[in-house]
Amino acid sequence: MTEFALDTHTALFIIIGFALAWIAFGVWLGRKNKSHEDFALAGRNVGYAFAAATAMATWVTSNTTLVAPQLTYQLGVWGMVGYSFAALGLLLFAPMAKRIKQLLPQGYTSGDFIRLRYGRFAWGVFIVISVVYAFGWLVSLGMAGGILLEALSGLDYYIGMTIILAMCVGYTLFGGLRAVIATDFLQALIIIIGVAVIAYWLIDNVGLTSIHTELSQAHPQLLDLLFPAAVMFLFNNIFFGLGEIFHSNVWWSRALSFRKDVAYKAYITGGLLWLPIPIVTGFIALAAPQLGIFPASADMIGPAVASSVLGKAGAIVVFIVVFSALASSLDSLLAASSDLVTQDIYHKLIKKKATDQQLMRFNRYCLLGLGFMTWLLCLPRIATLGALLNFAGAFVASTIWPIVIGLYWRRLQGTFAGLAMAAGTIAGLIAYFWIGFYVAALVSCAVSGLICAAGVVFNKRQFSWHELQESRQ
Amino acid sequence: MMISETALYLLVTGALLLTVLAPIVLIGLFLKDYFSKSIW
Amino acid sequence: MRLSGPQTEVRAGYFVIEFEHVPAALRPLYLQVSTSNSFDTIVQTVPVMGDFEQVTLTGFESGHYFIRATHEDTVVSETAINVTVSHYPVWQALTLFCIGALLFLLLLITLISGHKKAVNND
Repeated sequence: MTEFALDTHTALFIIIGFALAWIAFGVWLGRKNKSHEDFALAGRNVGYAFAAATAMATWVTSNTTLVAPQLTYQLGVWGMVGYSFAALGLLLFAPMAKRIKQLLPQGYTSGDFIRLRYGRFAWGVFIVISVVYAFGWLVSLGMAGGILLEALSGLDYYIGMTIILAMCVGYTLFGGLRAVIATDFLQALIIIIGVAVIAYWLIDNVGLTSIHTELSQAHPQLLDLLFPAAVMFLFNNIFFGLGEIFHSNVWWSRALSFRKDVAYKAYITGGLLWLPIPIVTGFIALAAPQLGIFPASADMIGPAVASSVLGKAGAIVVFIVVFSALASSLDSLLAASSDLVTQDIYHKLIKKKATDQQLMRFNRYCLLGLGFMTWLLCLPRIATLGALLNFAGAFVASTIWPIVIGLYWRRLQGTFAGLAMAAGTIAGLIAYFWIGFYVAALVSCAVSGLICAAGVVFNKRQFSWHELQESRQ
Repeated sequence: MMISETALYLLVTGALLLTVLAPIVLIGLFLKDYFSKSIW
Repeated sequence: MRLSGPQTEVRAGYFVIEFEHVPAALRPLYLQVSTSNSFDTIVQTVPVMGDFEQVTLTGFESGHYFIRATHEDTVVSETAINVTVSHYPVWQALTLFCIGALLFLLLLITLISGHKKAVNND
């Protein structure tokens, strides 16, 4: 019989307690939501502290708490350092967030921008990419929730996954983006403090010298600075991260909800706060061989180390940290995706004259529907978390160039932008299957970049920024 | 080429130090926003 | 009991070893890794967690490795299995690294010059 760090009843007690507290908090925050703009964009006036915390906390996901240790266990020191370079996504998005606020003061979603800037064709391609990515991420988060709770406490995968999804849908449903952002602030504090405590415990009790000695004797490749697979993975991972942030409505709706003078510095601060976290979580995996911990599958290494060595109190800390990390991303993604469906599909295609109250109601139904669909897709445990996320890299990296050029230059037109995203995605997928996961995002971004360059060279017509100002009812 | 123990030590403790600084920064910013009534 | 490992060359130094129907009497189970079929020198001894039927090993340099299972210092696997680790060549890794770096630099230049232009027009 496998020994679990936490008994199932304690685990269940903790997550139900947290679920009720977060939902109550969401209801309390939801009092202020009078209009759809309040619900979807928190009144467009979020201050610096909440803005920086939400940028950081949303980017701390199953990626950082489960996959960063996994990659460190597989690829060593380069795995964790390479992962921390994903902070570049937040840092480079900072000037773009400022530009987005300036170009679209009344905008709602990233889809809004693509439709107005590039027209229907490019918009269609973009929506397909967004949907694939959003579901890939939602499902990987939902699955991570179930896997984690099971690994730490033996709680059934289906029960854990169901509770975490229901909780996030619950508080977002009542509180909207305000609830997402305020819970993110608290979740950010929990995550940072928890991660720091675990890493400090390992350094203090196991010692870096003994970890280094053990690795250099029995697992030398993990300390190798020229580890080929890790060196190849580095830039691919960076482009993947840039693609995720640049295209996703999770980051656009945040930029639009922040106060005007706050958008730029919030993303910079969030990025800098995020930067060291994958190194700290990855380090936990480096300590595993010295502790005699070899997981069944690599994505379990983080929870496995923590639950094996930290005892019950430590296991509770890990449990709460990863639970918070998952929730802080899951809620953001649910909210941003239902905004995208409400605004870009319902409001622009189906019911153009929808009233504010109708939009808010539709947005809530949408949240419920998305939560339910995610739950259905999480029922079969499909792939390992890392594989699922790398697959999405081919999709999102194709949007990097069209978005950057579209925000700052007037020369690129819709046909080329749409083609760039479609061809980039296809090329990335081909590279993924023919060459390997470590080139999918790189090839996708390069191909899309070439088509955008051709578009800029061959195009004569200049886009007028005024076309972005759409009349609103 | 293996990373030396010193470099690993600096990397991990440096990252840990920055991580510890983060909650202090966030709470400081929150208090500033709270007293100037600019949270939302 | 029988062990099974990767069927093809391992390219990144980590792989999964599976074992079927391990009787409870053989737990705790250990895996021994050696560079020779005679197991004169053991590179790693890996405890298998709980009652899992697989384990992920990591951190191997290029080379041939032999793996067998033991319980209380007795060998319990029928035959030792053979795993070949062959990392990608460094030149290939560095080529991809340089292409990535170049593309990233281009993006950075585009973004920064766009941002400057936007700030100046403001």
